[in-house]
Amino acid sequence: MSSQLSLSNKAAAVFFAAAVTLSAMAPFSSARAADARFVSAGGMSFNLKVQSIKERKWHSVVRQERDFSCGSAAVATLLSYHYGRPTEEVEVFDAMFAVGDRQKIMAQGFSLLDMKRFLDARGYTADGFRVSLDKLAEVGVPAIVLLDLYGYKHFVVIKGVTAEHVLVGDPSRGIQRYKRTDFGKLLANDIVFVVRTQVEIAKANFNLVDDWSAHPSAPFGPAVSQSSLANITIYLPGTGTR
Amino acid sequence: MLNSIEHPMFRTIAGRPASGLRRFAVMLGLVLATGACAGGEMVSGTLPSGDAACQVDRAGLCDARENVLIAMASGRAIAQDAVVEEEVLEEQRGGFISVGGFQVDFGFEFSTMVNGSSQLTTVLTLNDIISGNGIVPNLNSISVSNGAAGGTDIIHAAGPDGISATILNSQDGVQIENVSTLAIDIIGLRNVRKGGRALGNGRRMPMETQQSIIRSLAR
Repeated sequence: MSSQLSLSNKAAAVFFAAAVTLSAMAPFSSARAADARFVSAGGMSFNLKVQSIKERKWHSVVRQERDFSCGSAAVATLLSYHYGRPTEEVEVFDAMFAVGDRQKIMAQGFSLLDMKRFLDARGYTADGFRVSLDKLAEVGVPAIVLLDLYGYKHFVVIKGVTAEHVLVGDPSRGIQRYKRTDFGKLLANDIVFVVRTQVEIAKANFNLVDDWSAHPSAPFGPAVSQSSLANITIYLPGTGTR
Repeated sequence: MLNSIEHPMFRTIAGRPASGLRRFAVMLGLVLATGACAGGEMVSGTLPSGDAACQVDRAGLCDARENVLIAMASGRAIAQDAVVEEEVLEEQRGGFISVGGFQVDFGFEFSTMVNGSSQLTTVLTLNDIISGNGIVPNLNSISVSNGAAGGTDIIHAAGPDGISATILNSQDGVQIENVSTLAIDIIGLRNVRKGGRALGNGRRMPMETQQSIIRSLAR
């Protein structure tokens, strides 16, 4: 819980930085993306750690290095950001490629069995289960699932689930948010691939506020209420006949 | 063996009890699964391996597939019917282009012309560049001699670092041109966009090859 709280504060700092930029409209110099210096109208300056939306999308996802290596990147994402074991994709790729069916890997990509054997060899017991998304959300552990994007079979990591949305770590596109109904249509099957061991760590790193904040939704709603707009326009000088 | 039952009496494959022990295994599964359906507290940090043949969905008491993760989280038995067999896991593959998806064909032609006449042409296809980590090393050369007036040496080199043309010319008034033609044909993409599936094996271009081509074109 404490980790979630600290991550939440970090996310708040990011949005606070953005708010300051918009409200003060002050000139600022940005040395690098992670540390921006802001200058207020009064001449005071302060530094804030900021991340662009693009950076935020990759802050907890391992990007796939090869066009057919989404499987190895998904496993690296799972271990690095959900089980507290920093893992590079190349480590997973080399290990799975060494013992897997190379012809099939080159032709169709890695399989869930490749992932299972890799994780089993490192002390994680992993299996595929035929369960619904609701049940996965109820348990609250991350999972690797296979999407079928019109013939494009692609592994992603489910990082969180709410009543309305599914948060996904996509090795090719970073953190993505889907509506539950839309995501259900993309699933290639009803198999969720989960690690059985270290449940507490997995649950503690599922549905993180920090991950959800990487894909903020626009605040839909009227910028000016109709009543307040009427109060303004009613007193404007008329241009019609009197 | 993925779905073995840990008790020696019930040891079998794929979570299916041996026929002689099936009835007892079903009864054991009912007992354990009843507890799973009722829920329970987390008892350990490890999701248990399948240690009982839960047949509750067949018995109609509850859906084992729906309750398997609940059982996992509560530290109770896992219904074997919900665990996916290794053969099925092996079939679940993901990559950029799937077999039955769309097919990418690639052709790269590099031609050097001297005074409007093509003297040396080097052609690369996808077969030349996906057999290893990048482009298969390829070297072509020709010497165009004009007697005492001099000559022109043309060398085409292709390799992991890119594709290049080196021209050594020792005669005046010669017009030399290099023409690079890159052809990429994506077969079946239209069908994929429509949600359909085209026939044919998918082929992909390794990242190293993509970078080699990009470096070559950037020169």
